[in-house]
Amino acid sequence: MARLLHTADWQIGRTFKYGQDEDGHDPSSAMVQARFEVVAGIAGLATERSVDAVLVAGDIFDRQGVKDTTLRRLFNALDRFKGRWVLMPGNHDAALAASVWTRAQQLGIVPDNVTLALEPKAYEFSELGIAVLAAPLTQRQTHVDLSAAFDNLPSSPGLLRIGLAHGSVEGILQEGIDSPNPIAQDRAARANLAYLALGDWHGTKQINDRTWYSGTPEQDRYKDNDSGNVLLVEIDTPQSLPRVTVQRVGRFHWHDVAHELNGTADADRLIESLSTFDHNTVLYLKASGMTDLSTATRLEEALDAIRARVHVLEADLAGLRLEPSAADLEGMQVDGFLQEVVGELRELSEDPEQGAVANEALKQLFDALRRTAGAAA
Amino acid sequence: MKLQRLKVSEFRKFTSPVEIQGFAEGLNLLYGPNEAGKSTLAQALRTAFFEKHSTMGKFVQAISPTGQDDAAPVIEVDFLLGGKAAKLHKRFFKKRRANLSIGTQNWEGAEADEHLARLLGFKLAGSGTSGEDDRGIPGLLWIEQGRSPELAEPVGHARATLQERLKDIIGEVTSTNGRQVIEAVQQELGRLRTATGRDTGELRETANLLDTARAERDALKDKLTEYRDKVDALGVALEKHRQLHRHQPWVELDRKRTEAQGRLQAVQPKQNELTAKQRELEVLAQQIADLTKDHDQYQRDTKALTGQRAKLEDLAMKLADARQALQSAESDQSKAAAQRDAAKLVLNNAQRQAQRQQLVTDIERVKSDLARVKRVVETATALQGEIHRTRKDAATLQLNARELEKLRNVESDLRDVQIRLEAVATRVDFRLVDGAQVLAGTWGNVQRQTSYHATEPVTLQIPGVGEIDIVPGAGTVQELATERDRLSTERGALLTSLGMADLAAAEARYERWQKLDELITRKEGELQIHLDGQGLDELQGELNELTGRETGLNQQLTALPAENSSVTLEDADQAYQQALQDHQAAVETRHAANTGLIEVRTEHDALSNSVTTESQRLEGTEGKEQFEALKVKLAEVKDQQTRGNDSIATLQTELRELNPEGLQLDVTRYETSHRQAIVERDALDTTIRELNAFLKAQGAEGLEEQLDQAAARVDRLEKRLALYQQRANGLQLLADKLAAHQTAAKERLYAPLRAKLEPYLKIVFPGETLHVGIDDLAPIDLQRGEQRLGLGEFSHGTREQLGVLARFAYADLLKDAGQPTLLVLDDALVHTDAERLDKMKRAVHLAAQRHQVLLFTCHPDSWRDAGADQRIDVAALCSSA
Repeated sequence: MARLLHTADWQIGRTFKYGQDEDGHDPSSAMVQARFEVVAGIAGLATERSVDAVLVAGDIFDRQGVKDTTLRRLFNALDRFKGRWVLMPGNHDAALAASVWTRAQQLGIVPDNVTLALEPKAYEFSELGIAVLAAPLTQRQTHVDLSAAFDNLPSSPGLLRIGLAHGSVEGILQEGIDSPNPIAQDRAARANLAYLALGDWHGTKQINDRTWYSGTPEQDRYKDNDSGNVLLVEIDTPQSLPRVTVQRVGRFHWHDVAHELNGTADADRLIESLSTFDHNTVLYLKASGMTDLSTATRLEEALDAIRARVHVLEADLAGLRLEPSAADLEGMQVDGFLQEVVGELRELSEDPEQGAVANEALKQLFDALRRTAGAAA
Repeated sequence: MKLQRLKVSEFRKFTSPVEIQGFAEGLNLLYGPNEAGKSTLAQALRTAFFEKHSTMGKFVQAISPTGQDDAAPVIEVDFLLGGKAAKLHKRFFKKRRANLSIGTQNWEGAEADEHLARLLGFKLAGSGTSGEDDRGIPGLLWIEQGRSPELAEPVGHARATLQERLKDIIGEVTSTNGRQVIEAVQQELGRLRTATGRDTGELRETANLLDTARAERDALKDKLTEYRDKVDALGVALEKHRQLHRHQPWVELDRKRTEAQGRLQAVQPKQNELTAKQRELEVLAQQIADLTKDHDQYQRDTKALTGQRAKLEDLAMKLADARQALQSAESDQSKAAAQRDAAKLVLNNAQRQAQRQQLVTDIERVKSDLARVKRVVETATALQGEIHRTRKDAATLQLNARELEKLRNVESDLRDVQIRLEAVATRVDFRLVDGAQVLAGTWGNVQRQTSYHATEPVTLQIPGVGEIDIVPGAGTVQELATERDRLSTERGALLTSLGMADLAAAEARYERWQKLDELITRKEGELQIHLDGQGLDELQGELNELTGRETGLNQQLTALPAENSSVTLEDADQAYQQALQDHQAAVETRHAANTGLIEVRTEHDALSNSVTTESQRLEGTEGKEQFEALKVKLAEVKDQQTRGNDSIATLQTELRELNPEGLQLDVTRYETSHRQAIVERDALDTTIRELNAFLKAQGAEGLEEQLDQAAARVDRLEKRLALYQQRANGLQLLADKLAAHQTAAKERLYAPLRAKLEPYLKIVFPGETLHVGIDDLAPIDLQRGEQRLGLGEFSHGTREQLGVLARFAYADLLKDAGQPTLLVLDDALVHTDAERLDKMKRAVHLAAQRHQVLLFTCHPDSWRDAGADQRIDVAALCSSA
């Protein structure tokens, strides 16, 4: 009987491109920090559930070139679980001649309860009743199924055979695969494994009864389906099927929203839908279509409010065209040749080449009108 | 608006009232000479309307006839306004008042002033006199003297009023806030782009930041690549290290080297032995060589001795022969000497004989010479005497040749003169009857038939008749006569000088002298031939010499004894020469024989000595003994040599089997290989150490993290830049469109003004395409054909014309808008030439169809054909006042 936590793709050292605002709010730093905190969270969870070991299936680090401080922080974060950690290199943190692992070892910060599975072999923990068959990446890229070695890798009798591999299961996962390192679908059966813990795919995903991707515990991009989890795996006997429970541990939710606006009501609906997002949201909004001036203004104000509420808002309004209404024009005293100019610019904004510039020109014109009206008033 | 009557009193020079009643509609010509008061009238009109009735101050001085305010200038204007009759009465200074009535309405005082201003479209001055900027529309339409070219300022002052009054025709000049919007847009654009289109402000800053960020990112990329490469290199090095330490090749190489070294050392002693033996044999060989040399030498010497002995015998025989030869040579020599002496004696005899004969011959020759010379001397002396005598005779006959020549000439000249004289002289031919005679002066009594030439007056005395004077013509005759006399005198002098009676005598004498002279010359020639180049003295000397020589030779002959020899000189000489030669030959032969003897003797003696010495050396007891000993030694040493060679051969065979060279090569080879292996191992260690150090240092920097951040920064900046560029482009597009549309609007706006102006312009500039540029309601430039010129670029005259025409256009517009128009042109076209003036008259006529025009001029004649509806003689008006 073994109780394990299966996790992977921590991507420690990942940076985010959201710059600092004028008021000093730096969303990226919180997101970087969250990655460490989730590790601590996993450690806490491990202690709480008294698991036998925590298995990390690759890409603990996002890259080889992390600072020493980052290394130290990571190993410190493991502190809340005193049990066995098995950390296996993936493609981002492969076990090269000089790697994060050799550096950590040189720094002497790898605690005794942390096993670095740097070699392709079976790591036996008889006191825990498990043998962890590891297929670490020793190069940045391979096109060989490293887990194939499991088939002929013996382990001491009486120990549950747990596989630990990093790559893409052949034939299952389509787009957005991180590494070309292939893994056979039926590896668990072929190698007589009680459970095969996989990493590389950032969303939680079951491949078969004995093969799972845990996904990244802290979401790090828009497109991962169902990430932010760890797997609690309970195996009674080698023959029995493992019981896998999905545990949410992540903090941030990433949302990618695209919306085509057609009129005021549409805009209101959009604003409404966005109001549900909270401070742990990383939001990307792409708005296109047509609005009149007042709606555009309202939309901008709403976005300002949203920006202050969510963690990060990326708004792409380039595709949003201004279509001033009669009321708009009246309110701004657009007469004489101004009217003519507005007319020309509107026409031009439909031209595929010059449309964007014309649209911008219109925006600027209305801005100027507002300003002069304001000054006059 | 139509003026009907104007009355002015106590206004400047108009101390008594001046009234103009007859203003007509259309064109009114007010003419008069300078100072007639035209401009004063125009000023009065302006004053009436523009000035508040209460104005004082400098105004007083300006319009008061006295310069003081004790006057009371009054101006009355009757006019029609909008069909109604209007009257204006203004009085200034002390008893100031103003009264305006239009139709049935009335205004007094200030109200009158104000209402007038409102009606006509001008302002009242705040204080003091009215200024140009107050005068509004009338200020534009009533042109003061000489100010027609000024257009911009009057239009500027009138603009607001014009715009207001023309509102319905012209419409809004611009959009309500169009201008402000344009400014706002320009301002925004200026923050991102300069006027020349270069990026500035935030835009440029962002671009710069982006460049920097890109550079940083790229630098980090490179660093990262380097890092990764080094990681790979470390992997490779570590693998090599592992392999190297598994096999450790240097150990094996060391072992092999040591072994080879040992084997080599074992071979050394044998090598040394061989070397020693070889050296020994070298010594032996040398010994053998020396001994052999001595042996052979001995044998050679013995052989040589035998040869020498034979030679010695030869030489002895030669010696005897030589002695013999010498003896015979000596006897020959003596004989030859004796023969020589005998021949000599014979020669001497022959010589003396020859000498004697020679002397005789010489003496004969001298004698003949002597005789010859004597003869010559005698002849010469005689000739000389002759010559001398003849000279003496000639001297007495001599005449001065020059004077003789002169005399000849004079004679000749005289003859000439005489002839000429006779030719010119008056010929008097006498043909007298017998018995008659005439006494004719110097001619004497003339009888019968005679002719005379009268060269000077002559008186003919004819008794019983009287006297006749014959006076020959003066001049030539006289001259000739004078000349003749002169010549005659000269001749006389010459004759005296020559000492002759006449020319003939002189000539005769001269001839005789000449003959003597010839004779002398001939004789002298003869003498010369005789002497043949020599002087007489010379000859004399020669004579003496020859005489002496004869004497000497004779003496010599006497001294010589008479000899007789039978042998000729030549034969004797020849014999003697031969004898000499023979003797010389004999001497030489003897000498040679002597020399030969000496040679042979020397050789013989030397060889004899040598033979003696050598035979002693070689054939003596000691010599023989030595030779035997030598032979024995030689045999011994040769034997030693043979033995030595054998043992060397043995050693060499042994050594070949052991192959020490091969062993040496092995040692060297293993030595080198071992060293290389060590070097390689150490180098690899160093490489690994260096790589580790580098990676450790670089790893700690967190290169990838930095790169990520740098890339993110680039990303952000790119987005920001795109935004700004979009903004700048949008603003640019907007600004361009706004400007274009504004211009177009203006163009449309001013169409009415242009429409009014261009027909007038066409009158003055016919046949050209014209376009007036208008800005702010004023014309600013004129395009004729291809050329566009600002108004200021035209000539003064043209600008006058343009100024007047523009006012016509404004008046037309104002009339369309129902405003009062009255045009006043005071001396408005003074710089206009006749051709243009003609055209302007057409324009004035046209304008006068629509408006009342008051035109003041000093040149009424110019305007006679202007079609004026009224002509007013101002001077007449004023003088009658």
